[in-house]
Amino acid sequence: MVDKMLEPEQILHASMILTVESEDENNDELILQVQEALGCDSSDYDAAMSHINQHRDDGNWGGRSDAVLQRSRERLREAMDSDALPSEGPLADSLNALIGDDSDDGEIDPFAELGVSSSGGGSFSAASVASDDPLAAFMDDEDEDEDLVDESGFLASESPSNFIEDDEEQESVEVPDTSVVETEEDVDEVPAQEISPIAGYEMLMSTCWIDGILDPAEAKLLARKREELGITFEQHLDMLRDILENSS
Amino acid sequence: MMEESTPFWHALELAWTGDGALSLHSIRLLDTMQNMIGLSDQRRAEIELRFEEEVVYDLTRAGFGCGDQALAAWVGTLTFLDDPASQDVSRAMGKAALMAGLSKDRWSLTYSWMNQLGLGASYAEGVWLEGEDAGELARVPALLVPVAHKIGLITEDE
Repeated sequence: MVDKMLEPEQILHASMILTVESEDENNDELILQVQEALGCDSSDYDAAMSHINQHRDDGNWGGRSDAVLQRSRERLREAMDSDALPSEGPLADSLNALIGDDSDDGEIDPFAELGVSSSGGGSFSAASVASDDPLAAFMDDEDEDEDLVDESGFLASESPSNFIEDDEEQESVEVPDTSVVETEEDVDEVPAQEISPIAGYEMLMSTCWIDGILDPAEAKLLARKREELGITFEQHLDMLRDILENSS
Repeated sequence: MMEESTPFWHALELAWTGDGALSLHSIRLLDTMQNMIGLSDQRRAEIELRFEEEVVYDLTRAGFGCGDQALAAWVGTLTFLDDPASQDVSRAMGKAALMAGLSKDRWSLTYSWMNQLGLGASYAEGVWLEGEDAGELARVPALLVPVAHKIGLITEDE
């Protein structure tokens, strides 16, 4: 199982969510500093802002504002822990203020115990960690493996892999078709099945219309994954055609 | 099969729906168009058969095929395919579609449409941000106006 760092765009996205939901929602200077620290360009900013505007719903986030904010805080913390963002200095202080003191209260994260990053799974591992955060399908690598069901539900039966799905509190881990895992000890026994880049990419692609509209950030993410995984554009179109045929 | 979402279907609509009749001139124009876009006889037959079932049987004749005027103008726009910039414009069109918000259905319809013109690959590259960044779409060529309507880039008024 390979841990993967959060993508810079995801970190930027998380920081922008927390900023727009903070009292100082126009803290452009902070976002600019984050952007520079991450090496993100204006198109990344535009894509993230477009996504936020599309889903913010006046701060309601489709009734899931707590989960969205919590996820964003976790990402910023992880980014600072992994040195993707500075953990000391003025920027770190501003980010800590943005994150607030909403800590885990000592709660043990079973995925962290297993060596699975709760927000940076990334690789196309069958045991990637998931949440039911609808935003995650657009911005997360690890969660791209998670929402395997579109409105037509075709991937639920066609997915070649088992996958682990956790709820917001990450209290339980479910492995469909094999067993339901309730405890950390049981989680240790879940075999990690690597799947092919093609299958992983196909799963990722299946999430791109999860909200009905192809988002520029999703298209950009898929383009980057094609490059990383060595998937040709022709293969992409073939997979897309299969997905659309299966879902119709 | 997406017959409805093809340039040739659009040509049939122009030819037939003016007054519910198909003129000899329109038949020749349709032949010309078939050659220009490299449409196979089999595929043309599939589209025409479907068009008969879906449209022609419900038409009431009121003339002698005046739709040939609009069709002639439409076939004239196919010269855009010889423009060296046609692929770049298609890429820009794809990117514009992405930015406008592309649903699964719209993707399928527009890709089918562009594919029949031989512009499917570049359009897809624009939508899926493949390769170099596509430029901005300065204007929509007359040939692509119907697909621009489908995407929502322009309205009927425009």
